[in-house]
Amino acid sequence: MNDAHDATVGSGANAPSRTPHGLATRLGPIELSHPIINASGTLDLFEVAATLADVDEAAAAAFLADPPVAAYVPKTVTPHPRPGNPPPRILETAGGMLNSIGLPNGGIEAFVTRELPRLLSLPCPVILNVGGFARDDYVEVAAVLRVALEEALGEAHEEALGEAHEAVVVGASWLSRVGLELNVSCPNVHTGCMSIGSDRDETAAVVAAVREEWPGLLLVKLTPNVTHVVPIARAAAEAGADGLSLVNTFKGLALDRVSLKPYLGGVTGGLSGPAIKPLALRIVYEVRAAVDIPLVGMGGVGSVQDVLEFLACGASVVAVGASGFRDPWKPRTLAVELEAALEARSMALAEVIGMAHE
Amino acid sequence: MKDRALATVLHRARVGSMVLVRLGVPGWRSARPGQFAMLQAEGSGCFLPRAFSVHAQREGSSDGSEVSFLIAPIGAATDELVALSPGDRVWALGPLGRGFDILGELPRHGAPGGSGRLLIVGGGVGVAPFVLALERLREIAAASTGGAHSEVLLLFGFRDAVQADALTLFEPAVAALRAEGVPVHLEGICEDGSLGRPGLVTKLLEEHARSGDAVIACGAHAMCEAVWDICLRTGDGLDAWFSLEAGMACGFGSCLGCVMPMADGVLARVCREGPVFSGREVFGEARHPCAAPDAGGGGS
Repeated sequence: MNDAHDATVGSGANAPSRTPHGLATRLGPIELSHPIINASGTLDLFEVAATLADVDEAAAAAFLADPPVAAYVPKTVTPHPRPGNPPPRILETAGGMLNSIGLPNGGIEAFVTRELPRLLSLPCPVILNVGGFARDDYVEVAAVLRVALEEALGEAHEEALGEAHEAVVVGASWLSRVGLELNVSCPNVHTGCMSIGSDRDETAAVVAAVREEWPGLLLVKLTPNVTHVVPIARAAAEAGADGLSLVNTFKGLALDRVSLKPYLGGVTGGLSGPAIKPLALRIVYEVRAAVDIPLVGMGGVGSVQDVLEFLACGASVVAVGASGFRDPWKPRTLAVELEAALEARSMALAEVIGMAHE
Repeated sequence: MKDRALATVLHRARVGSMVLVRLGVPGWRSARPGQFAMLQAEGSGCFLPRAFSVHAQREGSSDGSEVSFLIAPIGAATDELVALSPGDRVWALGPLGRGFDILGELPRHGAPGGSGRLLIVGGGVGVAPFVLALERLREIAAASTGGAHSEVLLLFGFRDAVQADALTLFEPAVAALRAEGVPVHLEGICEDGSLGRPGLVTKLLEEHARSGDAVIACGAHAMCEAVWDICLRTGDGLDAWFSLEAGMACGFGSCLGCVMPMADGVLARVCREGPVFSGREVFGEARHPCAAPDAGGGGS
């Protein structure tokens, strides 16, 4: 697949550790040092650090002090704790993988006490991902997060918007440091979530209700599992979304090779990896043509060529998903390669964004 | 884990139906027995790496260590790895997970309630981690002031004589442990009877297990369940640790794909909380009459 690319670049300690220049961009009020982030649920910075710490505490500290993403998107948090789906949860399929993880998490209360403090200790912005099973779930979690952030970092000050790094000082506005992504698109839970995001009016209602509670960056992660994404994208934008994350996984099914019964414990799963790239690109392309808010493109991103193509289709930020499973340093590697690729084309980042439409 | 390294194939040897691949891995940090690495052939046609127990290792210079993996070709990813030639390259991430870290703490000779005997049970490619375990036991014996294991029994089960060629991999490590004065018994059995009487490795375990023994095991989930069942039947003092297998995308706790239900119902990640678990953690105290979960279709 995209592995041919891996041959030329190092990873981890071998990867270029400098921050690429000339790639600075922004997502609403949040400044990013480069346009590569992770897709929710595909990279756990703290687990990578803990694994590194097994042999080298200093390497773990260095990893967290200089994360490989421009902004970090943790796993989905829901109002109540969830154990997630029964195993088996993943299976490699042609050109990618099918997962049925099912949003395991400790619930918003544990998230605020245990996760939020260490997320706020990261040097990069964070985009908190929220899932729910009814409209009120999203509103409740957004409200709890807002209160917790105001307690931790001080009330939001609109005037701090756009002042780079200002918010890193405790007491300054957190708006340039913390965003929210609504997961209305998980295919692996049986109620809410994707069924909300598959419905234009429900999506608009959730976004509008959260908008009332949440003053910061508000992204909405949409599902590709609908006939037409554009009307839902438009509804989310009109309801107050600052940006759209495109796309979540494609719902699929895999059978056990011997028993010919569904392999995954959750029966169906979400497909990710190189296999979905053309499908995701098409959606980013169509939404860009119809909606005028920033897009975070994702779906099978594994090489700098993939990054360029998502940018060209209209994404201003690109997320690495399943490829981060085999290489947690991948986003940083891609950012460094993107810098070189833009230089080779004598183009600025802003010039590439949307160029497929010209 | 230190970082993801591009390793070089140094040696490849067919061992019956399996292949022993020795890699030169830059920056490798010494693995404990039972730890694993995620491997993927460079330029692989597969999307994800696969998890393999560390079979043996030799600490190296700054150029890297020599690390061996015993690989059974069971699908596209393992077919790629066993077809590699010296000079080919492999992405390697490891060592990962919690190994048989109890080896240094198991009841040894003279310990109260313990027989001092260690039974090592492996099935098929599940024998892979035990050369490293023997090396660790040799270190323990060499450093010990009279507290080495009173006896080490290696009980290995194979499908047929071809697969049982893997027994030859253990001879040097067995000899080294014997040289430290530890009695070692190595015995194999084949399902098709080609090593004598036909049977599963659990037949050997039933013959040898005594109250007070400690067991470490690696193999199919059904084998592990049967081993634990024998432990429960043999007496209170018999304890066991199992290296479990699950399909995983990352190996370092990110994907949450490799979870397995523990006896208390909690899902544990095989990559981080395991792959080695105690019998009590995985199976609990009750006898386990239920069939093993379907192990097919997963990793390849």
